[in-house]
Amino acid sequence: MLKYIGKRLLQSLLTLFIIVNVVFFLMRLMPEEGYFGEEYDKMEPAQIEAALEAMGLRDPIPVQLVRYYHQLLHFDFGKSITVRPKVNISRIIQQKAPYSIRFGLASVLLSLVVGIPMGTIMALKKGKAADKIGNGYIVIINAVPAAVYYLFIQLYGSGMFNLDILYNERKAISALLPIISMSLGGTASYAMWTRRYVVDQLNKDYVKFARAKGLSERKITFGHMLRNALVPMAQNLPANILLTISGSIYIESLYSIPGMGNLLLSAISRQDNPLVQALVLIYSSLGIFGLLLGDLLMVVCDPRIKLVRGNEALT
Amino acid sequence: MKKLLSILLICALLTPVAALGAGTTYTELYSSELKTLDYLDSTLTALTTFAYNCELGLVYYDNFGLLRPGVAKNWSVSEDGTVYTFYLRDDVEWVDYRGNVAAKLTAQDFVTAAMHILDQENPTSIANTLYNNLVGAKAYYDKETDDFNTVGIKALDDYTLQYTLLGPSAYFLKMTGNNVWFPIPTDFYFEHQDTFGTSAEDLLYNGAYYCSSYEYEYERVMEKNPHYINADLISIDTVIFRYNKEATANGAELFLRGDTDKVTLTNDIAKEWMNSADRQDKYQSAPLNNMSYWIAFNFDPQFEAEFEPDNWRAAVNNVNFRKSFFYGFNSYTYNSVINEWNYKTNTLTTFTRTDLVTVDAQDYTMLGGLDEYAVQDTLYNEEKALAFKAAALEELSGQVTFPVKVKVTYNTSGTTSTRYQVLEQQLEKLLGADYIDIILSPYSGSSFNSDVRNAGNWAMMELGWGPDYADPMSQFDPVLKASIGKNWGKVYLATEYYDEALGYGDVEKAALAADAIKSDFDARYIAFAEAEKLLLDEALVIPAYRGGGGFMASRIVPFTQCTGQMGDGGARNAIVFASMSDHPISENEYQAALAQYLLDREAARQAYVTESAGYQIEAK
Amino acid sequence: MKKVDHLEKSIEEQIASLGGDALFTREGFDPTMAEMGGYSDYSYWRSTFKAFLNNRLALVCLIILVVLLLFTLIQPFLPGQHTATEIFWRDDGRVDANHAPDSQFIFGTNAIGQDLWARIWNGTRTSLLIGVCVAACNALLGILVGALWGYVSSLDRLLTEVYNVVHNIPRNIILILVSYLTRPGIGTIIFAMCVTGWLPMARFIRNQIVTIRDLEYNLASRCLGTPTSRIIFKNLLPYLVSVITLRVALAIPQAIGSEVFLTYIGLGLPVTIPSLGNLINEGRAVMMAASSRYQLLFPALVLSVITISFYIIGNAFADAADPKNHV
Repeated sequence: MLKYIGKRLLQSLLTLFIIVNVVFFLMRLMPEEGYFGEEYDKMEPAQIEAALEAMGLRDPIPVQLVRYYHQLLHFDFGKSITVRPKVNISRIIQQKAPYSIRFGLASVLLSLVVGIPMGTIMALKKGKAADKIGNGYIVIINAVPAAVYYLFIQLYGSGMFNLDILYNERKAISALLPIISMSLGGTASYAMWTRRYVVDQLNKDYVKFARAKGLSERKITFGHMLRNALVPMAQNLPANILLTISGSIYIESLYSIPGMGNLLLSAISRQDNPLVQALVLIYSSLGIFGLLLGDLLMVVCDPRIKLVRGNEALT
Repeated sequence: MKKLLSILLICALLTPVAALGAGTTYTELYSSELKTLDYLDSTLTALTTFAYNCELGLVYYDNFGLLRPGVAKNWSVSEDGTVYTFYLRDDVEWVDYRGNVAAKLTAQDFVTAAMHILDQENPTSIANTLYNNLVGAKAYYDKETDDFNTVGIKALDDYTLQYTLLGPSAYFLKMTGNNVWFPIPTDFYFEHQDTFGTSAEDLLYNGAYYCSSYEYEYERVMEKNPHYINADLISIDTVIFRYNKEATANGAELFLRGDTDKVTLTNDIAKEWMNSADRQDKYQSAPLNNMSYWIAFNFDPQFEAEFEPDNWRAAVNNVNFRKSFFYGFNSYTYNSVINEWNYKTNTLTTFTRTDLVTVDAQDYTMLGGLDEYAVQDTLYNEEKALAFKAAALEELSGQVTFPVKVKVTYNTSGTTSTRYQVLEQQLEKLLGADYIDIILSPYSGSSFNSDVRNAGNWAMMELGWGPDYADPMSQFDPVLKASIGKNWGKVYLATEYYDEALGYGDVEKAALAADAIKSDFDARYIAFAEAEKLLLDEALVIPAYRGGGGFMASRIVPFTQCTGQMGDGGARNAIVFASMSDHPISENEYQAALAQYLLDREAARQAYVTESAGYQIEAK
Repeated sequence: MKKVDHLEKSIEEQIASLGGDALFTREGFDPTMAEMGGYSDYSYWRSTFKAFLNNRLALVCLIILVVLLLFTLIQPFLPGQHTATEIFWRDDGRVDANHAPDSQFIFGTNAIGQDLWARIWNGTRTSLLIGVCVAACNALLGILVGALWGYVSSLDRLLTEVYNVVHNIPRNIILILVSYLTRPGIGTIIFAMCVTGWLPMARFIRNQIVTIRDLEYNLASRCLGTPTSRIIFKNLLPYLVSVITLRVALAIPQAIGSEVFLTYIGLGLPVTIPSLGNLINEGRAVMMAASSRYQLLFPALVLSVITISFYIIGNAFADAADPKNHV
């Protein structure tokens, strides 16, 4: 087992290395004007040269690459160059990540707590009204663009319940609407998958056997079926939780939450190379590591699963 | 169950409650975050607003746009107009983010600021302002010398500062009110060089407010600085800038709920408020800013053969062809897309907006024959346009194929595309599809300025410019050959007036002649106005609109705040000196205040003549 | 043995006592009919179709979708239609902006006086075109790569690595680069969405194939020396028809939704080309004013009807295409 984990980790290291290099080169294909944004018009060619020089972008690319790896080996992401010049990237992330993690965890928790019972009920009442309503919810959440329903939740939610439009650090209740909005998508997807896996279990022999043995429906559902049904869902959970750090673009912009949601996007559009590289490195390592954790969690939940032999579990 | 859980979740999110100071609080929304608080980084509006709120330079502008001594008590100018000596106050102090005095301001702080700007390691966009004005600055910037003593800025003693300019300047004093010339605390700067301006803690303040907390993309809190030299004039105690990316959309709702004290109303919201009984007295006209926008012609087209660049070049060099656009362009229609309700106040009929400079209480736009354009409400005139079209058709027949293809390029990340659609259909409808064929052509935003606009890949385009200081020369930048990189349409190439030997035409000749007048300001401004009249007579640009305007809701007493409308102040927008009202200002209150303001400003200008007599003293 | 003999004897006796030959007559052998015995009139597609028709909700959605599609196609040729970009003017020469819905403009006009009705149908055409192209391209590439990835074990390591790398490179970098290197337009956005869009499909197909490739019937085929391509196309893919159609059906609304998101972050189509993403984005800007909210509601409604229909049809079809549901 340990050998397997070690092998997977080594493999991930290679993947990360390739990702970082590809992103490094892609960012250097961007137009030079992009480094200056609005200020471009105010600058003379000499200033633009000087600024590119100062940002280290005039060095040959291999030199830049070596410098970057040198930094990385010292566990240093470097400094931002255009989004927040001179600020250490680790500090930017330290300031912003807690918001995204808090909101993300709260919404993942909320969607688990609502979504799994919802899916279970839908499966048990398959074809009945509860199932249809649940399915309607799932379809609508998946089909209507979030950009639209988030807006209406913000407008009417804050109006009807007299809540703040914007998130306010000094008022905990102002976090309610963003968390609920963020959890809607997750709820739908957890409900959908729970329903599907529970339905798969419904006609399994062990369930019939349990029923024949006279176990209460409650015990069958929660003690046996749900446990088996949730195993496949365990695979994506760690990655989902770890990636809450990346935040939500829509929600954080709408409610002015100073989280990570917009950071990658604005880093890319303002061509803050070190920041883009750092974020891509963090997100992809968390994603890859999350999948490994997910596989391990599956083994913990279901001892029948063997990782070492098969390659069914895709990294 | 769900409710209980959400409450539990919320509790987990509880963060320490920060207490705000008592007293008057003003809150404003902003939708794009500053990249740094280092006010020597750029002259982008958001940063200058911060700078004028928190820092003080040698001089400042009051709410009438009049220049007043700030850190400088007074100053003297050498005989030849190239050496400026400022005598500084000895009681200006730097405070930190808690409002505690951290240092005393000395002349060296201005020198340190110049060193910071002229160091290529600090990539600021303002270095050119320094090295185009100060002796020796360019050589130092280009690293031809590392001796800063060769640069024309010196601290003669703790409270005497001397600038040596490349040549006499008509506007150097006005420029020193800009953040470009602000001081930075010397000792503090060298201690915090690596992080200077990255947070509220990494900066010192000598202005009306100090920044007590700055959380990136969340909020900036600024408290009144008791050590500010004019602290007694400051009535708002706390200023909060709150970040919201969707501020334009959310603003009105937040204003009604009391979460913000000033918002611009979009066209749709304004319409709602006009028709709502309880809101129609809660909004007012919004002030105009210092930006002029015009429709430019490109005299050096560089685009694909498919759009017939040579045909365009031949057509645009015909004055009748240009004039058919000049009079055919309906600026009311165009401007109403931006500002649906009071678009008339935005409409420009001259290249320079009003309130830039005055001669004997007469606005610049009324001088040198420019009044011929300024007195009109709009330049749009159907008959004239069609007459010029007929003339152009006749003159150009055989040389130009009609319809002339007009490539209008636009930036997909900007807002111009909507206006261009209106422009296209309005002009084609009036002038006829047999005469022109306007073709809209989208380009991506990431390199639009360099690869499309500056590269000349367009025939017509909306351009905008705001002078950095109150002098017509600053407004003329985009039409002069001399301003490399800013003369986007290359107006100087217009062939009918083109002077082979000089490489430019009559307009530039007139403007350069006007700029040669350095000390007689009245003559200078009149000469510039004449040059501008030439620009319009030949229809080299089509004036469109002035920035700002529309409607806003605000709890600031009108005209107590410094804004760009006020004249000499330029692109200024600071909360300094503002006072708050207990209710949103209505349009009636605003109009009354405006009438009073214009009277007060005239009186203040009269008084200024005697008041300012002591500002400039004889050289010691 | 004795016991058995005894039993046999007694049965024979019993039969004889009941009338012997009168009970059993020997039937002749008919080879053609014998052949027919192995025949069933079961047709996969007919059963699928029948099962699908039984789902009334899906049927309604299908009708709505077909009608909508036909309407977007014939709308420009109907009498009294405006073009999507034509601006309407008021008498004073200004644009007829934000004209509330009435008999002249069924869906009203937008902020520069263009007919929202025409724009919505034009935009729906654009968005559907993007959706179908992206879905088709992703399905094609995804199935091809996914099948190879899942079946050819020597490619597994390589393709897994490619997947991990491409999957983790932010799509926005690629989008910004593509729109910088080429000109903004429909082709560009389709290309940009396809560059990485086939990955999830490929991964999905790969995972499905991995689970079925070692089933006995495939093992048997392999033992008989069937070429890889034949195994993939004749053995594996038909088995996956139902899940693949579901994914393709969902890929269309996903592509439309992702166009909305791209427009939101500023990487969408230029506004001179109406699309549902553009229209929703324009509507968002004015939705805080109740009187202009229709500019968001109408495009959002049309988009939702389309995407919801695709979801329901996709799901219903996947159910119907699953042979387990054919009995």
